[in-house]
Amino acid sequence: MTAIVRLALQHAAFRWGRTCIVIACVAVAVALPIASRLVANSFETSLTARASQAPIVVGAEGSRFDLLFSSLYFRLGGVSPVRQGVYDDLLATSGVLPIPIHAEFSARDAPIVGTSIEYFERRGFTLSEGRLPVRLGEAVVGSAAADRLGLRPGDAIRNEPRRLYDITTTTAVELNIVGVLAATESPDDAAIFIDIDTAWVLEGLSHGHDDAQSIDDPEQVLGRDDDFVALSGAVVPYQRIDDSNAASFHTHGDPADLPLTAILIYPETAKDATIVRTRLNSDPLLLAIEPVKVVEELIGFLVRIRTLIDAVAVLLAGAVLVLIGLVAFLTARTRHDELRMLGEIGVARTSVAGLLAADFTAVMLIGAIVGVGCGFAVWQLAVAALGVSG
Amino acid sequence: MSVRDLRIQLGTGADRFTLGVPSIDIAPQQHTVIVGPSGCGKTTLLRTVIGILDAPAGTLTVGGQNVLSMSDSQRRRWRLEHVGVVFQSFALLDYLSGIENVLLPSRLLGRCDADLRKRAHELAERAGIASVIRRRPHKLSQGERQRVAICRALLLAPSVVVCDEPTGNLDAARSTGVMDLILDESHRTAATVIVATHDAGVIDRAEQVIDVSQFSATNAEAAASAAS
Repeated sequence: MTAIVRLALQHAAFRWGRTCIVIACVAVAVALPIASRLVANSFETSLTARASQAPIVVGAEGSRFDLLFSSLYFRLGGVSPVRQGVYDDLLATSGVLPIPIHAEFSARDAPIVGTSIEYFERRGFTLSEGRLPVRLGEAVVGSAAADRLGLRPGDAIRNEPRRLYDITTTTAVELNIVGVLAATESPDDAAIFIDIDTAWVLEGLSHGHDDAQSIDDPEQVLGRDDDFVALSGAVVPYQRIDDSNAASFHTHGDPADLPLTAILIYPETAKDATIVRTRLNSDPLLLAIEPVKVVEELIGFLVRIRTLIDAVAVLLAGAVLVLIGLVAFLTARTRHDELRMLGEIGVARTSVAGLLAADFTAVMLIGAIVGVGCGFAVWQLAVAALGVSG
Repeated sequence: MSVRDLRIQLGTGADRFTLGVPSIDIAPQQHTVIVGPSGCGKTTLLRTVIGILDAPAGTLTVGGQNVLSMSDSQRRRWRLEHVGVVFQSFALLDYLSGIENVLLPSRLLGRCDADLRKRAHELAERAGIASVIRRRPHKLSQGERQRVAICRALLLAPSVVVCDEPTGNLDAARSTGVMDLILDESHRTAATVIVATHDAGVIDRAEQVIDVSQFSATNAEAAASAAS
């Protein structure tokens, strides 16, 4: 039997073109359903795990999916802002822990996320280097972002202004990197975290500049009395925050109107959750979502897509089977003389049949193995490309 | 080898061909040539003698064994172990090298040991194809391919060597060389040689000549037209 198998393999190797085509066809038919299932499962697992980390998310009225992706995946510019006043009200409410999220800016394609120290505690972050940001202008970097951007404590990075060539908007602010987070296999790895007050500096709603009393340039002073100095827009705010100027940073206007992208809410009990959700949903300007339920909706779409992919895979497998049947038929036809000769020199019928079967089985087996390998490779690539945990 | 009242039938209906062979005796180690015009049944007789074709009537004894009473699998096994066959079309496997083709029967019998490998190389040396024996058939000349096929037939030192037009594709000089190889090796291994041929040079060297045209052959189509 070994001789027959070896003979079959030699034939398969000699007819490498035919063999490669069949292997490729089988591999595709095997890889497609494996890859689609693995990717879908990873996507589901990743989405569900991420969603379960935040029981309730509140934002401005709009799309629940946009709010989910802005607040948990830091997709920039997807939602209208929610007022800081909502956060203040929640902070004053017993039984809930609100965490502000400001995700409107990026630095070299890494989202900059303004939040509070509670976010780091809730997520259970650990530092691989440095410390957490405690002062204005400080930032801590996720592991993947640190690797990609080559950032370490002591480095600095500037945010990308909203409109690069609009000189009336706030210019880029330099952020001082003070720490690098350990990997968490989540979207946090790709982000740069700053204090929520620093986020408002990026917005231009908080700023620091030279002491107004000491400015004499008439171009920069609109008016002055004993207590106040009205400065013009010609005063250039600080673009770097350090010990010498940190104290000069201040916010104009009502702090309750400062913008947030979303607020993550951690109720202490189910009752607290119900109360706060009901209260928030009664405000027509707000949207409170339970991320797990929104993700279940998304997974529903995903299951439908997966069913479609499975149907395509079945059709493909059918087409491949027909092709393989055709190849097997043509192979048997083209090998007719060879098989007859083997019979005439005395090879048993079972061995002749075994020769064809071994050739066919070897090619199918290799195709299946390649298909499984490709399926897993595509899965890994997709997981890396989509940024979901495998 | 002994043949008695053998009736061989091929095909059905209008294509049916029947050959009646009353008696043939071939002594051990004898060199016998089967001759006759094209289509008279030389190849058919040869293939029946080694059990490739079945015969509905008569007896066929080779080395004391009644070939016709064997089952198909028994005949195949007997052929693989005791008969060396040289086909007119060489019948080499194009995906094996020359030496692998020579060793094929031994591989299929699970007896491809060092001794047989050595014998295969010795045969190739004697056949004058040692330098090209690692090439695949499509890189060999007609004569080289024929000699590879002969080496394959002789490898297991069979008791019967059957050759169907072994020199049909060769010129006179090569034809002589090929027959020298077959007869020398067969003599060395005490094998009986049966050759179907038109080649006068091959016929001249035979110890026995059987003319198949003397046997009764019936072509159904011809018989039908004669009757009408």
